[in-house]
Amino acid sequence: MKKNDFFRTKEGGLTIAFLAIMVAFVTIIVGLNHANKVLCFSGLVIIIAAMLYSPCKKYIYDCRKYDKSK
Amino acid sequence: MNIPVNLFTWAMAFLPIIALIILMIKFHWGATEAAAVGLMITVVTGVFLFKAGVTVIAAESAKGIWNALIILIIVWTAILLYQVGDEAKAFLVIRDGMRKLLPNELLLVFAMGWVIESFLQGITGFGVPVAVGAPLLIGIGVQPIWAVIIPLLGQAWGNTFGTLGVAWDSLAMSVNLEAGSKEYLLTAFWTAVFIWFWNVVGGVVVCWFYGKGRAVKKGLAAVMLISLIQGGGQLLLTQVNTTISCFVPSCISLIVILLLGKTRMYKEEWSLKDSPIMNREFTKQEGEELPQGMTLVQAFVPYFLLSAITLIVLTIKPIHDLLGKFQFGFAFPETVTGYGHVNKASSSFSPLSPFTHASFFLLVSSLAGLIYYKKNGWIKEGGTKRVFVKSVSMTMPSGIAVIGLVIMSKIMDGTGQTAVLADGIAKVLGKAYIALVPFVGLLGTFMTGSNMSSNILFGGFQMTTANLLHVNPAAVLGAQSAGGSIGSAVSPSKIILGTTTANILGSEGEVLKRILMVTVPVTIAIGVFLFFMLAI
Repeated sequence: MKKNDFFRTKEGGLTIAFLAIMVAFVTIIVGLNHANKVLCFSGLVIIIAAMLYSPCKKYIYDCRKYDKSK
Repeated sequence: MNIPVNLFTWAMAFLPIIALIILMIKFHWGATEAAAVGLMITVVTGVFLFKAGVTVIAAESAKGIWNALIILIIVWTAILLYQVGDEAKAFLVIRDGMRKLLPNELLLVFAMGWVIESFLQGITGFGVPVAVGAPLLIGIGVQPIWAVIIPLLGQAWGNTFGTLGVAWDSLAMSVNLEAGSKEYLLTAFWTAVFIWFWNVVGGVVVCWFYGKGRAVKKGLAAVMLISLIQGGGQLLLTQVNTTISCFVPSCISLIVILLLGKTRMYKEEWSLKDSPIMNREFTKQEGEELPQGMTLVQAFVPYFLLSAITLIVLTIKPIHDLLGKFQFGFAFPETVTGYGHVNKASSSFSPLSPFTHASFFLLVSSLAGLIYYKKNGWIKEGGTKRVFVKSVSMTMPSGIAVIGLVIMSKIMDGTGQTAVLADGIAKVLGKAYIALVPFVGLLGTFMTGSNMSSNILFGGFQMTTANLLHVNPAAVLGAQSAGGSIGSAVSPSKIILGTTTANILGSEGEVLKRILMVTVPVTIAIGVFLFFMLAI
């Protein structure tokens, strides 16, 4: 497996989503400790984006790609 | 708390759960994708209907991520341990070694389809027993469809207290049961009682599949003895240490079944020529090379290490206390929704003790096993990298699903949605709901693929409902987790793992149909028992 190939697979994409969730976790913790709503909101947005990666890829991006290839 | 409880708010609180069910059952979505949609709905209803601000949602999300992380490090290290054995082809040695030790074919099927799965479930879980068990059974001549069904039944009883108690810990965490408290021990007791019943039924059913009445007659003594060790041993140990309550009896049952093979009753060669589950023509797949010089004992080395480390750390108090001194958690401020639902502040939320955590034992055993196999030449060049890449690849899809589900459950709890759900059900169904408790647990595992996720998703809800109905929450939570444990036999994600390694991908419907014939009656029996015990 080449170095960058893993991140092109579904599992690789989910690993990136997982890392993004970790970043969001730290952002929210810092936001909560400093009573900073902007940081809390930013963290939430990152979580939502990371969670939506898999359904969007599977049911929107891959479906469109399949339709185009037909 | 001033949240209005009416049909609309109840339906909105139920919406994320029903969306999960529909997406997974009707539209065949995976848990990773469905959890994201369920989470989005929870956030929207939480903000717009249950008046939760950004801080409430963010704080509950962060709590959810932290709880999910604690669970995920067990998932990853459990899969890592499996990958180490798989890379060294240790499971092939285990299969051949067991065949030599057990001349009675029924006992061999029982050992390969039930006892080894229980042992693997005690440590690793997460579908690994099914993935490993199916090819092992095919190797001794079991037809592929049955080679998937039997391990699914064999691993199910160990889903709550197996994987060093991760599903149980999730239940305790989601309903705030303090370890060692009276409620904690009582809940563990009822959970283990219901699971023991399921364990006995499962053992008898495996014999029935092999050769109906004749096989039950031949195998009953072995089933009863193994069940006494597994179900009874688990029941006893839940009152001492829940982390090892499945693992230790599973290890003992593995030794006992080998000893049973030496007794007068089982030491002779015995088989039923017309057994409907056997096809002895393909007893050994071609192209499989056994690792040179590896003995049965050597194949089990990482598992022996795991047993030793776990027992030493968890049972020797000074060591446990010393290692348990180091722990950390995050501080969370108090948050309140617009309806006055308060989430109390915590100076250290769900603290993690890394050196007494199950993941630490799994990691050390995996690394030691890897070094041992490599030193003996059973892991070839590039094997180490493959082991790590495969373990991450196997963890991530379920990892994202677990994170999504735990956050969803935390937001539902923190915004008062779980309270509204439980209040509504208690008002409409009253005590009749009690009979449905194990079905809710089963449904949770069916949807999410794990007893752990079912407990996270429905634990808080079952607890609140039990309190509203003024019935014993310990027995209700026990039935929830036992239902979840039974549900692991019908979980589509585990069935797929089995059909994949048995090379019969696409036969999931056939497998599900046959297992439902066993799981549904057992779940009904537990529900009826619970109803008569608590409501009459």
